[in-house]
Amino acid sequence: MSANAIERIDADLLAAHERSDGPALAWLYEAAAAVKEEQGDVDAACFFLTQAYVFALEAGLDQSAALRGRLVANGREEAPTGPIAEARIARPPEG
Amino acid sequence: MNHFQQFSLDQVTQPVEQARGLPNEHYTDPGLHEAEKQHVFFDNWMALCFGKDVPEPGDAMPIEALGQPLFVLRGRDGVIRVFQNVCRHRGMILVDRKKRLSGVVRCPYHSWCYDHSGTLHTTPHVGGPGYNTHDAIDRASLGLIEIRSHVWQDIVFINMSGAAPSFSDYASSLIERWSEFEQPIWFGGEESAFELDAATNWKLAVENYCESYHLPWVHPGLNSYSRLEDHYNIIEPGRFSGQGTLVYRPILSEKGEKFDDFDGLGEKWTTGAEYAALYPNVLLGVHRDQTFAIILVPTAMERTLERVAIYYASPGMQDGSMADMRRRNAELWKGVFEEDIFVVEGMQKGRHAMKFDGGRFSPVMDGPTHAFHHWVASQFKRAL
Repeated sequence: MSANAIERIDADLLAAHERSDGPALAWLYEAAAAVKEEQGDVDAACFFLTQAYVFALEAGLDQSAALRGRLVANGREEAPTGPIAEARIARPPEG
Repeated sequence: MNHFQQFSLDQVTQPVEQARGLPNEHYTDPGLHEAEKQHVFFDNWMALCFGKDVPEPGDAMPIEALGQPLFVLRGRDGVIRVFQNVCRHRGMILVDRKKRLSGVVRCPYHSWCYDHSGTLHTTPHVGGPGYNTHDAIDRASLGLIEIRSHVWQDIVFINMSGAAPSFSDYASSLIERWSEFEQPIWFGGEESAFELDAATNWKLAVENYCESYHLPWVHPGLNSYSRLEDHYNIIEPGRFSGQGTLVYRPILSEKGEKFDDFDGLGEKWTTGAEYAALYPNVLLGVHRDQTFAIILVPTAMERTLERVAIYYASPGMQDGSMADMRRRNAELWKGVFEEDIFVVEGMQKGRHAMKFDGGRFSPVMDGPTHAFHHWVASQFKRAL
């Protein structure tokens, strides 16, 4: 991955924000986190993971549990204490 | 409250033969309107909206209750809850329009997220970029502020103060009176709901609804089969009042079809129907084949929105084949309620007459209206 990869994701992110596309935002931020993880930049990766986590939660995506697990593993999020009250729905990214 | 106001309230709580109605200020004085919010609405169980307004799990709707920003949410568990519509972080409004939530409630400002029971679920970047926790942020104590609520007959009631007795106690006498109607009701759909906007204080809509005295004059069409002498007063001091009829006739289609009746009703309901105002702000009607509710929304001191919804006795009545009958039924009720508009608006104008003393009651015909005035006055006197 390179700076070009982040630039491409950034453009897609702006477009997804523009159309308030929560599932796409979750997937794109997760992709950005992967780039930063590969570069060894944990803080930046956790920033993007947090963004992905929030949009996954809002969209009710299954991936929110895994995203939370990664944040917890890095000391960035509280460990879950019980099931959250909303159901998670598995949905593919749009667009 | 000054001595004059105390004296005026004492006059209201006299027996009906001697009592006067609430003083004009209760209809025209912004200061008393503010006090009324607390003593009459927030300290009691007020009707907020209908369950049918949020029919599916995840449905959220913002709603203002006398200026208080709230939202109603039917959670993934199917339970309706009412929350203060502000984030515990910076007080931002959380739900700005009616929507169906796929997941959590996310604040649009800094994205603090709450689950459907109001628990604060995450606080992104609260400890700095990528750090979502901080010792100073105790999520367990920062959940959404839930407003005490109860759903009865698909009406969402709230008690803002949290200090009223349970709803089951508060409305026990009406629940008991209509215990035969404690069974599932089925909303008639789009054509079974309508709204009326009236330039009047909400109390005048209650007062008019309570009594049958006006029927021959204001509703001459009803009088052709439902005469004044076919009605009786319903008075439960401190709780509800209204009127009943002995000659209810179910609506029939051109082919002679009718709506299904509720199961197991006693003989009283074969030709009987009852109409009661459950204080403060919901007007109810029960019949063998349908119920309705009118939630009075005081949008201003001299303005009231009447939200009407009609419910039926079986799911079959929701069928498309019944749509014409449901529409005709709703039009009939709407026509009746519209006939009352000039009365409640006229009384509101009359309340600006500086020498009007609150009025006298017919001891025979106005008992239900006096019971409501007595209750309102008692709410103010309780707060003294």
